[in-house]
Amino acid sequence: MSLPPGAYEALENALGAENVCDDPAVTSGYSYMWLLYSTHAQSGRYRPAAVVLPGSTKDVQTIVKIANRYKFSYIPVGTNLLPPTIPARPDTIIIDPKRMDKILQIDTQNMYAVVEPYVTYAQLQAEAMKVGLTITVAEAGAQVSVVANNMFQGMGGTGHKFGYNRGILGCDWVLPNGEILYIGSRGNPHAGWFWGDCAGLNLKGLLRADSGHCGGLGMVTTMAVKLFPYPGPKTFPVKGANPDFKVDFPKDLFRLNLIKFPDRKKLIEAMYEIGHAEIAAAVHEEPASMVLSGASPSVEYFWEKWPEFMKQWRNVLSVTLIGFSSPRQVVYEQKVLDQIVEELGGQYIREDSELWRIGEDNIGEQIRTGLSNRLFRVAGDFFVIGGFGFDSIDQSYKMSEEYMWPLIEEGQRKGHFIPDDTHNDWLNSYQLGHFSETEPLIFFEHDLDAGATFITSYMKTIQEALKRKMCTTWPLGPMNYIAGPHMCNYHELVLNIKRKLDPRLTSNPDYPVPQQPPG
Amino acid sequence: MTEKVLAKVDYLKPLPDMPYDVVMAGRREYHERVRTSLADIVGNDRITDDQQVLERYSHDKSFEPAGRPSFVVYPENVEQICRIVKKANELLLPVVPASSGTHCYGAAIPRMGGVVIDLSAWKTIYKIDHRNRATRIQPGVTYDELQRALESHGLRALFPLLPRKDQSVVTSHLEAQPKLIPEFNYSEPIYTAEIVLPSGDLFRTGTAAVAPPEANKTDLIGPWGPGFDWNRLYTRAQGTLGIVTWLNIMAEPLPTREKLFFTPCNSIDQAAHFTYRLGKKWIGYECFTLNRAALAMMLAEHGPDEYRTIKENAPAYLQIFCIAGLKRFPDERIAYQEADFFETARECNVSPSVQVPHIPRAASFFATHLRQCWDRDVYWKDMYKGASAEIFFITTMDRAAAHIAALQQEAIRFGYDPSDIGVYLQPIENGRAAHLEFIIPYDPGNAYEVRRVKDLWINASEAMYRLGAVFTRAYGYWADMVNRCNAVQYATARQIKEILDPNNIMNPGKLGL
Repeated sequence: MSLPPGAYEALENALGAENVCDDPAVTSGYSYMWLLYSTHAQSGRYRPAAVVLPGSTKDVQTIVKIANRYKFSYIPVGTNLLPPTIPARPDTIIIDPKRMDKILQIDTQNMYAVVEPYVTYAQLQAEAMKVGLTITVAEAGAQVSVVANNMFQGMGGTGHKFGYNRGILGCDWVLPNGEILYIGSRGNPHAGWFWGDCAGLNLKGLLRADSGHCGGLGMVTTMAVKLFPYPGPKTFPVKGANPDFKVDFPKDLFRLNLIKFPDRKKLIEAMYEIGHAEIAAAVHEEPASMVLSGASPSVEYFWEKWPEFMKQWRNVLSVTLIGFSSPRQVVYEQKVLDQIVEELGGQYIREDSELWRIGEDNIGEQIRTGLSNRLFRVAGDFFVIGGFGFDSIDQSYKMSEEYMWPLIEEGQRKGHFIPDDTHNDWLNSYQLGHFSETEPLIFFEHDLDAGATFITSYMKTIQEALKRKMCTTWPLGPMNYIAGPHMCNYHELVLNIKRKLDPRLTSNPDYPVPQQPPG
Repeated sequence: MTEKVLAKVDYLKPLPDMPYDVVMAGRREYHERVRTSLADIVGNDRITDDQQVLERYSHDKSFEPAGRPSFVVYPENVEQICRIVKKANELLLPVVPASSGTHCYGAAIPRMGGVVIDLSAWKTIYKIDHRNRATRIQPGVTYDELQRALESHGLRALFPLLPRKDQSVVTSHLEAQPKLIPEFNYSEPIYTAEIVLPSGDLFRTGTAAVAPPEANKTDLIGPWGPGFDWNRLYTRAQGTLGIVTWLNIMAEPLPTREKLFFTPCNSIDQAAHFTYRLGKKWIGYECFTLNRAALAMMLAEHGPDEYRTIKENAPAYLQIFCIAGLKRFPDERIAYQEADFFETARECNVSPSVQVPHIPRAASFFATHLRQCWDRDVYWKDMYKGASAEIFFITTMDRAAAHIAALQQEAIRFGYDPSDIGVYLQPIENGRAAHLEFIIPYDPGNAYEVRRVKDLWINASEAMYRLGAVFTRAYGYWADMVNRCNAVQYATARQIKEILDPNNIMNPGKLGL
């Protein structure tokens, strides 16, 4: 893994030697992440040729221009959560924005923040809460990059109220040719950051999709994101210390409801009714494994509690009410929710019960996700069997029942997937129930056999969806060649745009769609 | 010094050129050949080159220069559109889609001629999906038609302010006309779309991509992808990237009870401050502010004298705010929101009321017109002088006062009475941003006034831009204005256009493309 002659020196000269590194002890850290089965099985994975740390948009432009001059590829990363951040070919450098970690502005009046790519949700939300605002935090965890998550999906725990994939405002985007494309209101040098749609052709459409361009079209170096009203305390109200902590929001403004329904169909009906009534800030079906792993201070605790907990925690809907205008809103919304629950035969989990004690941190998770790393403790590896295909709540249920759970059960029979949420997904409502996505969780050991079962099943969810004319799981990278021919050949349009904007294929070359289908 | 020798020119010798009658015959033959090839697709009765018809499509209410199409076609189905577009690629014939009856901003003027594809007769409402709060419609469906259909299913359309009777809902959504309800979720109301690409191939966005609606087992709700966010790329594209043949869009629960409140304000800053506060409370539905001129344009039924009387009696600015109840406990919903609304009003030192002081018919007007098209022949913006110029853009509410002051300065500079300029401030996404619109009435029969208002319109647009206005709907002159200041955006947009439309047949010239 080495760069063309002269390239390393050029990077050092531009950034300073302290911000360029090809020491294998460092670069090895950028060649691993969980889930590489999904994208690197054919290509193999590589240690990057170097890691560079830009300090500014200008630095990023220079790196991109050097890459074009010396003809090597680069991957812009955020906080390195997903496979597209790992090289799938040699002689690739990583642009790590660790030094670009500043919140540049919070506009309280117009509810947005301007951030650099290494700003995390936890960092931004902490500052926003001080001025009565918040953001919907990625459910991958509050430790992830705000910029990267918004470009990928922008999903979050309070998406029922705050929406999904709608967070991007003005941006500075370094294109694969090194020029800066100003998105939205940034296109007018007098306007600032407040608006995301471009004057003229709306090129913001190339930044967002069902999973973004994954660094395949350059790097966004500064982004304004939407913030939302927040009526709570100025600091996140947490008591205790990890692993034993509780959140403590004022009950007159924040109210968690955990509701058991007789079956999943009733739960789905409740989600629709809540959406039609336009109440609540967060609405999720919560599977037992997720709730218990989040509440478990140790893996031993999880397995000790699991046999009984999985029987008790079935078809549970978590509904968080927030009084944005006043406590009166919570009182009203609770009355509506009570009526819906009664009509559909649901039962509230009582606050003095063991189930409540385990599940009550759900409200904190929705507002600032912090327990997602605990999911890995259950078996070593974790993901979802497929899902993410965004459509209606009904569609989520159909996808889950028709082909996702049968695939999970197949994996369980092989002894690879544990434990069993018994047809309960993590099913999320977005934008007051206008959209939904479902994620049936799977846990598996970190070995090649189990990984192979996972990725095979994941690919099958795409094939099953296409066969049934339903919506598919995210097709990342090479998977687009499976979905594209069945979906108006979108992959060809994407590929043509990639070739036009990145003719030397320097910017994460295999994303958003590789040049060739997998062999 | 050498004497100059004049060139000898034999002016009598015929030039080596084609006889003019042959040239004309060639043109006629070409015209007829194009006509025949289009008629082969749509049938003889669905194509016209009647001069009077072509004239109607050659200009609109804007200041944009005219451009006449060679043909107007009225296709019956999507297959015909695909074939027309493929034929247009062969002939390098510009294609301009049109769906509304009245055009206002130059987007449907065929500046380079070609063929107009008129879809205003495409009026099918394919589906009203109450469960998923969606409706799938063709481009010719108007707001009144849609609203009538939705109400029988307990739903309502997301209305802009008093749309024209012949306004296409699809075009309104594609052009991102601001909606009266500043709810965060409604700023992107398109779920999925079917698009005839510039190649003539059919494309569908979001979950619709997986199969045509009749075979598709999704609910056609998922808007993202596939690949890129095509809905966003095609929004405000003015037909430069293809022809949308249906949209599946949001439809919301129909209120069971509602209450309107009117808040007089002394300044736009006072109205903005109150609206900001309400946005953060996340209550109410329709919310917008008009100045006294805009209010008078809407309410005057009997000509300029009544307009002046209303204008004299109206407050400087009036905020209109609607609170409504839905199916469950509607009175309780209204009650809690009303309490929070008045609490906020007290904190902002404003005094909302259910009536507009001195203008008794205002309350009933808005009670009936929030979900209705403009129902009189002369559009409200044209009521005062017969025509109007509009300047609108996206900004923030705290900049509105500066924009208004700058516009008034420009008006004075051009000898126009600034008090006659209508102001409409529409908060978007809980007040995070705002659509600010100026309505400048003029007499279309007075050539001097037309020229003066056009100069004012251009100079004021430039002044707004310099103050940070974002002209997301970059029509005509505005496209040149924004492109000249954003070179990389313009160059990248041209690259995207070249990929999707290499022959540049789709509405060429619009957006500067």
